[in-house]
Amino acid sequence: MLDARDRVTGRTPFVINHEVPGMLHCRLVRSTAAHAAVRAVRTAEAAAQRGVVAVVTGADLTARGDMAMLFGPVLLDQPVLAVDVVRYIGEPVAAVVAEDPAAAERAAALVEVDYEHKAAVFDADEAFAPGAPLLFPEAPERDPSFADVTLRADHERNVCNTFTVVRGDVEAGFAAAELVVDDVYESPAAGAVPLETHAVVADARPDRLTVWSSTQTPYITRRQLALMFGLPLNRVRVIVPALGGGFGAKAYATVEPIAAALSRVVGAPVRLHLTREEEFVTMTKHAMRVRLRTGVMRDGRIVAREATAIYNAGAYAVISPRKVMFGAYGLNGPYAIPNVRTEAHAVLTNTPPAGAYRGFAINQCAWAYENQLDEIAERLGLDPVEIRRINLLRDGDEFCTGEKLHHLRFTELLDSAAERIGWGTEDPVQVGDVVRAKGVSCVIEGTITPSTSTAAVRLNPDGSVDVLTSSVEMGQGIRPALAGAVARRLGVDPELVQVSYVDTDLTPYDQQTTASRSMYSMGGATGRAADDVLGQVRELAADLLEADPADVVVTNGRAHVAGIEGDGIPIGDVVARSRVGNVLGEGTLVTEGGLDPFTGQGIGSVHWHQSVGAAEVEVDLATGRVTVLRYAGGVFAGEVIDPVGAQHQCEGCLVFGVGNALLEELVFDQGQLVNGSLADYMVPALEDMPASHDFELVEDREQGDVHGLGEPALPPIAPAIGNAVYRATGVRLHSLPISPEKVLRGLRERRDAARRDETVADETVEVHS
Amino acid sequence: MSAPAVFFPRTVAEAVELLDAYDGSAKLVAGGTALTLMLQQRLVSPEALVSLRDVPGLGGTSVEGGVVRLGALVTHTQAARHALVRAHLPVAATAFSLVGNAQVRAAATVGGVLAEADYASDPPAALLALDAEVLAVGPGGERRMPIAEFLVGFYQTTLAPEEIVTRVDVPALPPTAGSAYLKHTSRSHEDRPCVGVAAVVRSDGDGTCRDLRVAVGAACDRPLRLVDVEAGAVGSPLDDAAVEAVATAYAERVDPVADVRGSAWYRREMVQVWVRRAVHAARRAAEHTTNDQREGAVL
Repeated sequence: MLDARDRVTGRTPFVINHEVPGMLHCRLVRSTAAHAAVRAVRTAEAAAQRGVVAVVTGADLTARGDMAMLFGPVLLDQPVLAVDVVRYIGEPVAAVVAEDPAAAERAAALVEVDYEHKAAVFDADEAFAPGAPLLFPEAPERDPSFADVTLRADHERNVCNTFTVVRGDVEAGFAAAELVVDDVYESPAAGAVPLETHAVVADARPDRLTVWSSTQTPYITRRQLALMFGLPLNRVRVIVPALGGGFGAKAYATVEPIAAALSRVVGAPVRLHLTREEEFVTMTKHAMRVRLRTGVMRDGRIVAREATAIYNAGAYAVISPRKVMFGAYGLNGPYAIPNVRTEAHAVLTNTPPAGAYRGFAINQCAWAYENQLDEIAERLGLDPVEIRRINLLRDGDEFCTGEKLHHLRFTELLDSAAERIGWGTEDPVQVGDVVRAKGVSCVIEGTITPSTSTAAVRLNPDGSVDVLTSSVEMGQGIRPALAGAVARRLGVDPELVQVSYVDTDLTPYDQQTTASRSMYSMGGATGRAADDVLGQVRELAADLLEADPADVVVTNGRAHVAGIEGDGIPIGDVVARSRVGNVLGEGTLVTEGGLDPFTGQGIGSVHWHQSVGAAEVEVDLATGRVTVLRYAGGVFAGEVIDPVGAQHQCEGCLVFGVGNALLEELVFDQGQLVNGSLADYMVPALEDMPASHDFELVEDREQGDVHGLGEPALPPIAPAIGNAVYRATGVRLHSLPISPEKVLRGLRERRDAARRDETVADETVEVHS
Repeated sequence: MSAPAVFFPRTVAEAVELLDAYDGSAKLVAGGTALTLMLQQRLVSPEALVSLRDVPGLGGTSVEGGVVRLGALVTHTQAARHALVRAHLPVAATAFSLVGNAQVRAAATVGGVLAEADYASDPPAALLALDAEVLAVGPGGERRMPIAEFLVGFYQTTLAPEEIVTRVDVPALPPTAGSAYLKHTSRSHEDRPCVGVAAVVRSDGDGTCRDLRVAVGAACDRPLRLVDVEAGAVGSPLDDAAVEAVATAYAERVDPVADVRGSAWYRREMVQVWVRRAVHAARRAAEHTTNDQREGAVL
């Protein structure tokens, strides 16, 4: 398999190992104030240290006048280094450039910053309330090229965008409903915790900028840097080797503008590699709180849903303006609900910026609506699997966006997962202090739409094949997957196929490696490029075979006249004998769509990820501790290209899901992260994982789509676990993570309530006797 | 601030001299697992690091006169797996085997975990239940302290800055004693304990309790033993009600900390649960050893 040998022998290229002659090292000075005016930055002592080349502040960069100070993928709101004001604890205020990392670190500790503190706001609901401190008294400008996001910003309420989905008549729906359930659900901020922290080496020359970056978005980063420095796109070169994990945290520029600006200041290449502690405050998962109101009929049909979600965007917008779209339609879940009004706001607060995170806004939604659906089922006396069967979207149903959906396999996925977990058998089961039970959940998630991928496939005269792509290999296995897909298309051995890393000077445009889009979009583009190669090969082979091109076909890597297989020419030989040097095929895949931000109507996704999960848990009733015993997941995959890689992606989701469900939470105290290290922030260890798991990947090869698998398995996990915990304990938690302490408190409250009921019952009896 | 000077002395005396010369501004390095975190988070900024790497004679485990001697540089892995520790101090072997993960246990040392005195740690409670003594060498020579006097508070010991823990002496448990260490994590399995309880039980053939020792770790500033409660259980059968009374006494008298692993309320609840469970487990272990010995006698 492509990559395997390099990975196990430690030769996979990473930015953190990249060295450029004359490279200098950077250490950032970060804000200790949550919201403050920067009155002075004293750098003299740091600058005087041995080995220090420069100490640079935002004011220094501004004074140069040769670069824009603000960047951001949608809104130009984030300063390269703070200018006049800081908006979160951990925001870069100054940078030390030195000959070695130790000198940079020593000097950085000597920089002193005077802050004049301002009122700060950390909770998104508080920031959204009238009279809250404002992060941006004036509206930031837009990045002109990010046109597909319509902004409904409201600066008076710290809102960087709002998205609303309206369908049917929600008031009438609630009026008709026989039961209405109304609750608030919460998900905390979390860290993606890639093994490799953000890293960049930037080499700025007067007319050219080269950046080696650990980014998931090479072309967007190129555009952001070009805009910042006023350079044509082709004067900014972004090179991306393998990433040690991204999970969304490495989407959109973060450290690149800083290193590039510093390189311009010092006239030498500058390397910036974040520490683990810095990583935790660089990009986070949105904390989210949603009020969710659902109306149902006695038979279990959902007839109305109204929801308002507040996503805590942190101090800068980053991609939150797009996230609210996923957040608004995501709250509908995979159910046919006739009357809907769901709304999501992204609200700025004085906490580290929240960005993309595996499951992009959908995890938070699923936690809420799948949690509530079990509660509804219980109140109606329905089985949790049954209430889902009643409401799941089926072929031809319209989603809340008005799209008519096809190729829906939810019911089949759910039935299979329920069967594999042993649904319907005795549940819960208690032995001593320990009780076991099961839970299920179902989730729908879109992929980024519209979107564009382009690729080139090159056939060499020896039959070997190069795939030129700007999809980023971040451990998800896109390179071996694309190699397998192209090899299959060309009918050659996958060992003959090489897949490039990303270099924007050389590899064609791709929008970004996020949203589980690569196997669909880039897989589509490389497939078309391979078809282009085959078309050219047929033309060339027709000359060699003295046949009509229309009669030439390529089978198993050989070009031959249709019906005469033995006579064929290996496609590499076609290249050699035709003396064309190489055959270069191009492919482009552009998807169309988009939703109206006021109604949510339109095309939300070129295809929809369908995913279910079933968990069996064990709860220690004396301690509240939850152990996930088994997990059965199911995802509609379209067509699986790399079966091992596909399973690995689902297993990776399981690690994230168990972490989100039971462990992970960034804890802030007045804007100060208190568990920002791996000793204090918990990601799951091997022993925290279920002893057994299996993921079913349902395929539909006739339909022909290949769905990405980076994320779909993730969002059902936490609600499936939460629902199982409820069935085990009767404790329904509305906030993640499901900590032992929350479970125990819930158990105690239930016990106390039961005692009160007994007392009341006793008294009642006395009165009547 | 500049990078600390690093020293590799060849003897304990040299190491003591260096610590003395730096007068409190040097840090001793054994396994380095805790110190590295503190350095990274800039919680400490020593002028010098004095490594014990090249000091011979601190890594041995032996038994003499019924006392197991654990060298300060014995790693957690070694302590957990050593035949002498497993035979004579099973409760300590268990506690060392549950710290962090395999990487941490391979580096962290017996001396280090005591000198650090992190409240959220497993071995100190087990060693307290075993009435261990800490040996330290300083400019004035060697001294010996009961662990109950050595650990005095959050990250605080009676060790002077220029003193080095060289050995821990732990009286072997009698063969008829049963013991258990139970660790409760409230987050990942690799997390530090939310509460950890070490218990030692020895009973007569008729079930009368002859010895009870219970040490609660990670719940408060240092491992907690209530000797009056322990003594109160001696002389009568250690039945379920007696165990519950012990658990209740610990839960009532602990002054629990609140941190990311649990609130004070939760900690108190967990002390009750885990003291009960640990004493039960130790009692069961004692019954097994007693039974084994009876069977042995018959054979």
